Amino acid sequence: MINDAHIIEQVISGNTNEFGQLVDKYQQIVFKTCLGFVHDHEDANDLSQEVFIKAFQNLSTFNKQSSFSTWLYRIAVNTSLNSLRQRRDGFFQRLGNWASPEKSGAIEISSEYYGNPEEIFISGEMEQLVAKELSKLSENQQTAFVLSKYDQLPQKEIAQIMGLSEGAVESLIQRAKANLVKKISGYLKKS
Amino acid sequence: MNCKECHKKVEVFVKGSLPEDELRLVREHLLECRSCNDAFVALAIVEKVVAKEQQLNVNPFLKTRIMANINSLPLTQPNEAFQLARNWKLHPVLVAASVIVTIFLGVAAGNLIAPINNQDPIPEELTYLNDAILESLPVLMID
Repeated sequence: MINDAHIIEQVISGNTNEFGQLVDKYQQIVFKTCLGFVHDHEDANDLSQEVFIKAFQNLSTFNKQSSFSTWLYRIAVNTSLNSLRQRRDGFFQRLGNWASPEKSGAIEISSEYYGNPEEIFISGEMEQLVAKELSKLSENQQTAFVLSKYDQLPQKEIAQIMGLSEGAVESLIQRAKANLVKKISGYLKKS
Repeated sequence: MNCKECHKKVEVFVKGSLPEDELRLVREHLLECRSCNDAFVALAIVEKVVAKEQQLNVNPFLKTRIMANINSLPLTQPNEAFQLARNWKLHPVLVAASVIVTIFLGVAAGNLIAPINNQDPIPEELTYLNDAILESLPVLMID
């Protein structure tokens, strides 16, 4: 089993190639976290790269009060949220929103799914809708939802990453789900 | 089954973990209640989209890109000695030691500089001579 503390000491003392072991161990979870925020395969890969480079550059500030994975999750969350903020506040993004306002088209749901909602087939349109409504959640709700659903972390670990109580995390997750259900069901139209 | 009871079972229903008898009751309600059915459909959509994205894997060349980036960074990683110096537990010891060494070096440097006194002591008799009343040498040399 790879000992993170030993690898970190090696890297800090100058053996930078050892950092590759940490990348091997954590790249998938960092990728999933970033994907939960940006919902794009290439963007998630780019963000994951940024996360690991930040982790490397700040490795000497890791104070071992938490586990390395918790620390890395925090960097991944902050990097992803910064990326989303830049997109939202970007000049060309605002210009695009002004030029082509959001469409509010309904999603048709076949009557065969009434009574059998779990059988529903997911279209690209539905994927875009979920991504859009997820990004509209508050940052805390979005973070709690991503760490719970995409990373499948227990609430205790999510609480450590977010610096909140477990009760607060539970509340955030429930509110995130309630908001998503409310928004998405508003788009549904029976065919 | 009413809407409130139905909503409590939505997550378990979507995951397919409801017992048969409860499942039947929920389906009956969903066929009658548009609002509850839409909520179930919405949650099912969210769960399925998340599940689909979870199947994506990281780029297999990500590690190569990361390590190439790291190896091209300037050498700013602190070495171990510097890391030890930054450790707050050693700071008071290092400060005290550096003060003592500085004082010691200062005293040693001061002692190394000898006083500017390169003359032999003048005999006491010569201190009584008055140059002003002595005859000049050229006068003494006149025959």
